[in-house]
Amino acid sequence: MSASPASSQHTPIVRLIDATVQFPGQGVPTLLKINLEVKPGENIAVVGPSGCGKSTLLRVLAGLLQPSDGKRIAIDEKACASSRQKELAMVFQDARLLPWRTVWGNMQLPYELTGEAVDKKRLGELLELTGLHKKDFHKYPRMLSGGMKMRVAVARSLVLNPKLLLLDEPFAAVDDLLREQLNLELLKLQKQFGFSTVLVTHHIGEALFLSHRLFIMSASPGQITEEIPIPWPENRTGDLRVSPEFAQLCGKVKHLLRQL
Amino acid sequence: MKKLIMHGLRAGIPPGLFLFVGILCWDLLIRLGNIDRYLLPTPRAVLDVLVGRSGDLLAAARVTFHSAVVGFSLSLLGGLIVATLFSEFRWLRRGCYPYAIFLHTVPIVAISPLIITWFGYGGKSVIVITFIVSLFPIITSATNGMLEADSELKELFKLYGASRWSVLWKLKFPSAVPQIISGAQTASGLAIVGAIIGEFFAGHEAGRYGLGYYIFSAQGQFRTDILLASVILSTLLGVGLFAAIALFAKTVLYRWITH
Repeated sequence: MSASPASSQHTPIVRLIDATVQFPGQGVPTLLKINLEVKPGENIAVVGPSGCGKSTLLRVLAGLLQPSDGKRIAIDEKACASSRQKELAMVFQDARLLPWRTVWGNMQLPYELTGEAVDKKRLGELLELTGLHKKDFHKYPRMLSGGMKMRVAVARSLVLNPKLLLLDEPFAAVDDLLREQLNLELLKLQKQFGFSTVLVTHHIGEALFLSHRLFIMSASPGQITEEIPIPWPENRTGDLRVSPEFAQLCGKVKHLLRQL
Repeated sequence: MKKLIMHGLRAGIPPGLFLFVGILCWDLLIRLGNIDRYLLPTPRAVLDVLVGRSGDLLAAARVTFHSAVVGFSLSLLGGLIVATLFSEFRWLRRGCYPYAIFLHTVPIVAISPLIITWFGYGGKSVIVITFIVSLFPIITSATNGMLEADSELKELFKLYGASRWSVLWKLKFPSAVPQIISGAQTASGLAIVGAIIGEFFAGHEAGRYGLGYYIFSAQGQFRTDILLASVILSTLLGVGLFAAIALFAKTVLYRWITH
């Protein structure tokens, strides 16, 4: 992990100020006056009912979608989608690997698209860190299990050493046990590389386990209604999930979601 | 190997059986129905033509196949260029797509005389007709394939600041390959039809007779045996071209199968 200079330690990587997204032809704004900042090393999770604009929020953070009102400020001028940049990376549901490319070919994609020189050593290390064996490198995605595909997708997102990882319901398609395993693996990777995350998920347990701050959103218009600080320390293990405090907080979040 | 043979037998026996029954019925119909031979020849007569004139027929099949393959290749190339432009420029797609449909709906028989006026009697006109007939499925399948490239992958490309060229070459085009192949299979059948129709109208040049010409002249002489033999051969040509593309697809496409 490369240490960030002291001055930028607390500068948010990306910040939304009163960001509103209004799609043409829709009466109610999809997002209304969202204020959110992501600091270095911080994990944020966003939960809310379907259609509350969680994914839209992620796209505004990524710079893929410009807010119709309000502002998005990125720490680095380059951290917007209009220029080649490597501060942000995104992981989607169902891995979204290119099926016509091997694992290795998929891993090279970020280099190819940004025009950076391919660092084969790094690609190999990342794949091994995420639990892939050398013999899997030249397999096509269809030959991999769902969990393996997700691992490759996470490894691919880390190729350019991003400061912020945006996760759009990344583990929604895998079973619960595997989800918990992948959650732990993500924490391990984060410890090593020091990236921040914004996680959009339907799974309350996952949201609590992977975040420092949890945001609850309501739908029509999409607004942040609640911010819950997560009290647990950094080195979280699977045991946390079965603790009474965890269940209690889960219950609280569920209750808040039901009230929306 | 044994498994492969068994599989081949299992797949081959039912259609083979129906073919046999069909030929038997055909033969019985002529014998019992007292049908004039010039209206419907016996299976034996058709077989005699296929064997006895095999040299001439194969030469004709080669001419037709050549026209079909050239016309089909041109439509594949042209169709992909048009589809790429359509997927890249929405205004072009909106403005020109209705005219692409024109290619599909125009009665080729009606415009053949015009094509012959422009390109003369012979092979060139046949290729042009084949090209027109087989172009549309390629344009539509390739355009749809490119437009339907996964939206989240498009976002991923955008996030990395990919150039338009990269998005086209590394995402849209590979995404469209399965659809392009299925469009090409439809077009390959049409290409044979186009070549035969072309030969009906545009005839031949310098002694290069195609199957279409054979069919046309056989009809004039009431030689339904030659006619049917030519029809069988032209059908086989279509099947051959279709199978060749299917084989190509099998060896290349396996990568695209996601599950």
